[in-house]
Amino acid sequence: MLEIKTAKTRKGKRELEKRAPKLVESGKKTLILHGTKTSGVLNAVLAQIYHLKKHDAVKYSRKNENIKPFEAGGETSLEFFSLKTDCSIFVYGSHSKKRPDNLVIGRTYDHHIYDLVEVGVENFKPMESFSYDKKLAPKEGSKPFIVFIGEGFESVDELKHLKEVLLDLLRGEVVENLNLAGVDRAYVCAALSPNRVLFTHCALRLKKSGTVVPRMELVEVGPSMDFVIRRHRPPNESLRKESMKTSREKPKKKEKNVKRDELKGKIGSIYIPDQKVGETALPYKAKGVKRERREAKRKNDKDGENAPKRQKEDS
Amino acid sequence: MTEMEIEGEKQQKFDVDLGNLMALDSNHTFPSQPPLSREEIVKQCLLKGTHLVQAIADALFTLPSTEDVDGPLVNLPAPLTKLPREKHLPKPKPPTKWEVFAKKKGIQNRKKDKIVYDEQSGTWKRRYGYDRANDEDAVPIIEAKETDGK
Repeated sequence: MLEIKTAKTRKGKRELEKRAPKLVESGKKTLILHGTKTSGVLNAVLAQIYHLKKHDAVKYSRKNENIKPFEAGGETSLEFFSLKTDCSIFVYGSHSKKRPDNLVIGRTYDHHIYDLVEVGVENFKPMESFSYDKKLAPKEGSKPFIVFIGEGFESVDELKHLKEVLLDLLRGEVVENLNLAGVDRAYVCAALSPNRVLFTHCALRLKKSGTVVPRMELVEVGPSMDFVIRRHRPPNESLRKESMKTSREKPKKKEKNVKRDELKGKIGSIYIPDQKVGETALPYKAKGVKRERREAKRKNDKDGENAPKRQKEDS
Repeated sequence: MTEMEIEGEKQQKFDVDLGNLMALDSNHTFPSQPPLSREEIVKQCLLKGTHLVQAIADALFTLPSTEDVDGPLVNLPAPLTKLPREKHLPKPKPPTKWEVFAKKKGIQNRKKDKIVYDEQSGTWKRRYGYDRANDEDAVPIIEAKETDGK
């Protein structure tokens, strides 16, 4: 729909270009919303997930009645929201007697539902209930370490699917260069049984070890909860094949400052910044600043401080 | 006893995906025979988690790093686990009406040079503007019209 609309202003055009499909994609945005009825636990869970993903998440605060992800007709609202906010992962919370504390994590492809995983939340412990040294608290937006424990993640279909969805949700932007000083958080997911996963968020403490590699220590800081897998809808094969397609060609990078001359060959210009001659440091010290002079002056003051100025005597 | 120790060490191989900073331990099972208390399970998880995080860190910190203002920068390899895209691959833009017409007619787009050779003076002068090349009005002698002068 957005491709047919043309922008009337240059700013609008820039916004449309940001949302247009790109060869190499930037991080996925997450949409957090809830249904008609939510429990206190679920509200806290959604709020904390939003906090963990502050930079690239959108949280809707109103109740949404007509969202039923697993039913055929109930997806239109979700697709519309995904289109409006340009979010391709969503976390939908709801609470009912049959499915208490229900969380549906889903992904979209081209703003249509791609796949869904429904989990129930149990044993939720919010961030506030963990006590730790505040200096270790992970900074917002840092790239996390993600750890999966358990053979279930390789064998059970639902867990494999959950692993992929969690990786997509938690990993943040794919970057080429990483600052090693900024690694400070880790998400640990452990498969306790074929349908229960323990999820917790820890801060990393790097300790000095003999080698270049520091010794890692995990300190539980963040929310910790159990995911009980309820339902899941894997993507259909053709859609999956299409979404996994990558293009061989690399995005063209413009080479700046390189010109070709027939006589000289390849030339480039070197730009030297302004030389502020008046503000440069002098290679010698000013006469009054020199230490010998200062010390001599101090000595003279000490010697002659009690003697007042000699008055002129009348002859 | 020693055999078991060696086996324990063999199982230390984890699947580490450095591009995503992810590690998977596919060999671990939680013992269900003595039902562990919640605390025990959490402790075991954190312990295993520490091992895995250490494995990622081992691989990460041994990468060649460049010194930056804020800290050592490391060039991460491409992620191994493929995740689905969020939008389709960009389709090439349809050609504009002019592009279609130009192609049909065989019209080539030729760039004009800024400096052109002036035969009259034998030098290279600018294409347009003051003192341009091949200028018809820049003659040394102009014949006067009858209406000029007086």
